[in-house]
Amino acid sequence: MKRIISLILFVCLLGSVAMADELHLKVLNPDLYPVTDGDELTVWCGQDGNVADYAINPQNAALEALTGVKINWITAPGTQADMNVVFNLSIASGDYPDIYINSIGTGDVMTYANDVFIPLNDLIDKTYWIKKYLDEDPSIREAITAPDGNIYTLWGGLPVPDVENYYAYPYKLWIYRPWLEASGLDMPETIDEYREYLRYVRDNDMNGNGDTTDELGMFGSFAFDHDGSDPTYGIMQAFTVTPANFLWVNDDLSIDCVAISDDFREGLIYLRSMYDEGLISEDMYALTLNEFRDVVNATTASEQVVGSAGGPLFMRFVTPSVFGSRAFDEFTYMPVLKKDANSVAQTWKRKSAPGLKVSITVNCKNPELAMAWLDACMDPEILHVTYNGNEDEYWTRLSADGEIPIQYQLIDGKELKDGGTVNNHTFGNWVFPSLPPSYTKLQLVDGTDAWKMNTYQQAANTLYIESATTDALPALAWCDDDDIITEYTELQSVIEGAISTAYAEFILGRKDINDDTVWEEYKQNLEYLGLSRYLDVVKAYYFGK
Amino acid sequence: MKNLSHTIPQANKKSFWKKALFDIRRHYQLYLLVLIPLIVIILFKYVPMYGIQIAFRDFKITKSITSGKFVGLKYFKKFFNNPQAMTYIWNTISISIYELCTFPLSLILALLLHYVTSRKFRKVVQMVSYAPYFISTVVMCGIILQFLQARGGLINLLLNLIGIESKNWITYPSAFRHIYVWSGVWQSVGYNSIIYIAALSSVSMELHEAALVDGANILQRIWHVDIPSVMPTFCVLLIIRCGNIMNVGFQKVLLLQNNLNLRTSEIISTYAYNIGLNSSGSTPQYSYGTAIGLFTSVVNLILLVIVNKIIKKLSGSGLW
Repeated sequence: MKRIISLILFVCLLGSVAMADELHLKVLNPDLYPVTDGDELTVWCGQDGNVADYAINPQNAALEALTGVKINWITAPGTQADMNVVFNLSIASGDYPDIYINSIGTGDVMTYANDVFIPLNDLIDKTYWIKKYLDEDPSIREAITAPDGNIYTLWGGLPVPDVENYYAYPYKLWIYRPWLEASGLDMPETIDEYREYLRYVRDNDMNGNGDTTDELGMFGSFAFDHDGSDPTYGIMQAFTVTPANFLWVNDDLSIDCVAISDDFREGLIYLRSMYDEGLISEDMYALTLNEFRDVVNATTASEQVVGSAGGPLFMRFVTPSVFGSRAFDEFTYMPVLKKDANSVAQTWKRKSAPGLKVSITVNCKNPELAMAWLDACMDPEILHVTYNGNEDEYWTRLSADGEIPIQYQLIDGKELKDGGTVNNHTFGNWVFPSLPPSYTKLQLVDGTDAWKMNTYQQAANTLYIESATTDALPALAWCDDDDIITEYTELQSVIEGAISTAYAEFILGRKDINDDTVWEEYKQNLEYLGLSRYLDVVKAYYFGK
Repeated sequence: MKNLSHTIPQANKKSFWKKALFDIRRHYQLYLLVLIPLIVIILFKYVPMYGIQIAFRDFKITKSITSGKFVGLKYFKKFFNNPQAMTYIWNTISISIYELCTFPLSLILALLLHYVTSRKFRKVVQMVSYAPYFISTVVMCGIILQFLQARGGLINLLLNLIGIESKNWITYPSAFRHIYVWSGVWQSVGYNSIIYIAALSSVSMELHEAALVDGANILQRIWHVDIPSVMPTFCVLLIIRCGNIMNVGFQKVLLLQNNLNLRTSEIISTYAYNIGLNSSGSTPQYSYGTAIGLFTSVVNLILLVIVNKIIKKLSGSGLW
């Protein structure tokens, strides 16, 4: 028996080695390879939660074979905040790698410019792909150029058209269609109609398990409120458009704090009354995003407990591998809720700008090699597979080899990143800069899961675009005043934290929103914490003194 | 001719250094043994104190420590000018004092176990009470959060039995300290009792026999024999605990924190962590973080000295 098992394991091992050997990466510009022969680079980067290990990833072996550069990966797992802590520790150690790949803010770039990060301008001029991307889209170059005229990092994510930017309209609500149909109600268009649906769910045994108390009409996660996973913000938009930072920058650059407005208070009074009626679950304020997902992702209809959920995109709360394909038919977007039939629907639009990612450090002995390696990895063919998985395994090519844009179809049922699986077939989202959107084109096959997801998501976005509005705050700012950067970050954390906490306390009745004295105390507390100063600092940070 | 027969060095009463040298040469084996921990302490506790000056300088992480401009007490003032500084200090002290109140529980457990006649039962209780100590903080916090969940959490299920409705207790600022302290008691009371169990086992049986002859019952034996015997151990541990009053375990607090309980859960160390390492959007403020850390260490030192003096006066035993 042992021999048989050993034999099977040996065959599997041989098979996996053979499969790894089979992977050859296609490239559009073969002149860039090999970059060198046997040199090594140390690369620090975030570890994508969906990817098991970069070092044993077959794509990594293929990349090493192609470029001739051996990469020593130093990875930081967890959320972006966790990665930032490890990044800060790495900087503090003084033992910098050759390349840092981490999404950082403009403040970090300003602080570490020249001391840790070297200027990349001259190196970029010698590249093929990086230079080409920047020349083709000058807005990327503009966004990543520091006030001193130097470029210290490449870019991370790139803005995509509004209809495809699923995070642009965060305060979306998604309703469980079978329960809506069972209630006999129409799709809610006003907050009161939505409330009626929630009352119906509260009072009936929607999942038919004999228990009328286990249904949650509306659910989400407060921990991810600014990402739109707190559905109460979807209702608040009917009263006042609420940017994630609770600030509204007018065209004359004057700044108002939305969270102290009468409209905001009116919205809170409405939400408090919903909580009193048992339509808002206290659980939303205790569960993390993953716990929220666990509650939503019922494997069968009889286990379903959530009647509607908040989230910027469908996948924020549904894991198709757990919920099953029925998710695409059963959860559907709600329109932007109006205050009443005579009101205009309104919601907040989040602006986007290229992120800042990938820098070469002063410790790198051969910056030319580092940049050449990055350039070689940023061939459209390579970037495409490192994001989307290998050809014919996760997607099939529709366009001819070497043709741009790469037109492709996803293979149904082969989802790389649905939050429920860990694979070793890509580099995920945390490593290389995004490929400009004009280089690829996804063709969806009608009726597939991917088609349904994209169709619903884009239909939701199309609907939300009509009602979306935004203020004059730019998505990205380069502030060169260290003191302002520090003060801005400190005050932002204090003020936003205080508002978020009070927001939940008002809804849950732990502070009485109907009491004028309590409301005044709340406003005075924000003032005590430095709200007025914060508004000045925001102006200085984004628009200069 | 050189006298080889008499090589034992003689103490010179005139010089301290010669006396010390004499002592070292005579007991060099013991000094060698002390040398190892001494080097460790010097290397890892005293040498890093060179970095304390960061608290008084505008330190940039990419430059050397001494290159930062000397700014005096700028960062200490910044902390005390922070509108929430007093809240952080109060939260830290209140959690710590609350925890301190539970300090005698491990002694009580040890006394109870000491008088249990069934050896098997004693071993089982010891094992069960030690076990949680070996669970890592991260896992422990995960367990606590699961227990406290309103939907199916163990604590709520138990509370439901006595008619208390389910709540997400971790979101209540007023419940945070109780959750923190009593989960800590659950985790460490068994382990902390080991030292008392050892001390109790070394209490002379003659004293107990004499007490029995005098007609003492169990409570009287505990009060007049056991407690006085373990009091020096108790005092030393209490003094050390008081010297850490500003050092609340920040990892556990951080893991149990959420937006709704921040009012009582944001303590000095979590604040220092957030501004020192966890800054997003701006670079970490090392000077500010160091100033806060230094402030807590100085307070701890002062408390240690005061408590040591008080206990020495009251019981005669102290750290020095």
